[in-house]
Amino acid sequence: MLLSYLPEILTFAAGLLILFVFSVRRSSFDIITSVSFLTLLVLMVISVSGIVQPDASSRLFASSRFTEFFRIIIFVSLLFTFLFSNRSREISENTAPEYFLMLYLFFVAASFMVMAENLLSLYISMEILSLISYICVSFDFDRARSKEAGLKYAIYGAVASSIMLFGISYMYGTTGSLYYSEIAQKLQETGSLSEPVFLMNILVILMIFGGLFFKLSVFPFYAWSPDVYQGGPTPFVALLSVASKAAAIGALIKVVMIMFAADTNALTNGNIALILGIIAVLTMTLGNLMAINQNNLKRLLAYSSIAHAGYMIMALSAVDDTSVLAVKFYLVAYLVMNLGAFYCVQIVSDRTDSEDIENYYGLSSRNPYLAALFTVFLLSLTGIPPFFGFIGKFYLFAAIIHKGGGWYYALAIIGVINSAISLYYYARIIRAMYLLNGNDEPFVFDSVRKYTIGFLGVLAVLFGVWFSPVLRFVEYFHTVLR
Amino acid sequence: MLVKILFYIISLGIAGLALFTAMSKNIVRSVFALLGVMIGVACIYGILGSAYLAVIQIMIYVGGIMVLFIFAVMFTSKIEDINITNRSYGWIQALIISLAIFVMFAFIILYYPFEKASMLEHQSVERIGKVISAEYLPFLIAIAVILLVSLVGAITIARPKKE
Repeated sequence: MLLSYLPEILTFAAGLLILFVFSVRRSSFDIITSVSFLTLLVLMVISVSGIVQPDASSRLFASSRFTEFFRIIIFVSLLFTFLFSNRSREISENTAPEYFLMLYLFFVAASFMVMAENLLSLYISMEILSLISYICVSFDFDRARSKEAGLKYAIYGAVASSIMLFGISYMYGTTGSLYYSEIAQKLQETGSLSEPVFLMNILVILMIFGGLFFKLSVFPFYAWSPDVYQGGPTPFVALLSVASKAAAIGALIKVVMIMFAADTNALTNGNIALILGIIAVLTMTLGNLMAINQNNLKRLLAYSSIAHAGYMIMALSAVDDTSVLAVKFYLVAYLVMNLGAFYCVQIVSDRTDSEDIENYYGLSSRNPYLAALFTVFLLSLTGIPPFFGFIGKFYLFAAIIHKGGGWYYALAIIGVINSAISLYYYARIIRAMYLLNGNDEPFVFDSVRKYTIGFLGVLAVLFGVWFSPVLRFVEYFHTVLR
Repeated sequence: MLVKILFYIISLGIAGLALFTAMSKNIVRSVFALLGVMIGVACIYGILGSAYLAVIQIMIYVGGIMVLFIFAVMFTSKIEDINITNRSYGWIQALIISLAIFVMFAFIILYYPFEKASMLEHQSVERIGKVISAEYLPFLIAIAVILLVSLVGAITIARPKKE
């Protein structure tokens, strides 16, 4: 039974070992990074090698193919984070071992969050994940902004998680259980639709969603993300925008599909879809509209990642198998393009010490390679045809339209309008890089980053035209329930 | 009957002290009012027949968290001179929102058909201990991870910078 948690246990142990070894024996950033990278790579190979079999017997944390998918997503985004944390201006060499321990534990917490089958285990793993995020966001010790970001994040997080905990306590009070499946059963038995029961259920559902929405930076709880993204170290922020959201959406899918699955009862049927749909509309629109005026690229990407969470929630609001598949497919695309965009920003800001759009003027003549790749990622984030993001968005909208009905068509139209809005601010960056003139000194950066980002760029283009392997990969891991 | 009267007195006390915590201009007084709130909550647990929760509440919140609060306040220099207040900032909006939330919860709690739990079933410390160390064992381990993360994080953040 423990064998099914082998990746988490080994990662935990490896993180401690890395902290111990490199605290005793101070080494250079390069060595620590390479050791951590290779260790994690080995762990990832172990976790997909078939030694680790899914185990659904545990009632607190159950692994399945579904959770394995998220494990891989988190593993991959961590590997990229390692490469870009190395020699980052924002992470000091002195604290590298602690930083890598935090990243290893990040995997453990995020993976357990998706595996949770019980509201309390969801809450606890989410708390660990949040705690790690607060700490890592303030890891850029030399700058006050990083500490400010950490503090803001912690305060917002405390509010969101206390709301969630309050909701969980009500859920326990009304259904007498914390297990997803038992709650679903109990909700089904609650036949009578008296007003207090209905109101209570909606309220409790909203409160439980609150904590997950905070991790996803979705409508009521999105305000932290621009400040945190701007202040935190860029490699970690990139991880936050991908892996933390992946874990949250994994947990959300499980909560929605197991606890409030569409046919469970008359009480939640339709209402969950409506709640998610409204939240998605608000999130997409606010994220995109607020991104328009941003001159700081990290803030801009923060708002854009809010909008992307909105697209995913939009698809999820169909609450069926197709939509879950679409969301998972989109996560793969989002991983490639969002990490790529953040790393482009990091490469520039590591040199210029600023993320303002002025630094990107004339980048195409200073470093054509970087400018071209950044353009690819931005166009992919917009959802322009030959790129990976287009296929991802296509599946999201297809899931909505497949479900059919006036509300879903309206949702899809709002989503398309939002994509059009997003083109404006993404294109603004492309214009700055290609059409405006800045200083002309050539811009160089080290080869590890060059190849890594090139790899991401190739994926963003390649999977845009040849996406069947990704689809097969996602379909292989496609089970929602056990 | 006596228990009922006691319950209402304590509840009123908690509400009053909580208001004082939020409204007071002096942070030291706020902290001590919060201490009163915590003790009051422990008393409510006791009245409702959950001795275990009452003890835990006293031990963790009164004994641990509040002492930490008081230390933090006392060690921060000149904190008594700073006027921190909630009153000057958008109290009408705050009142409307809190009233709305209050009415919503009050409505639900008054009318929701809660099942009555038998009190004796849950209060055995022995049973709680067994559940924690068997069914909920992963949570004990998870709490160890939380401690590790917070220790490492606190040390890393608070460590003096090398020149």
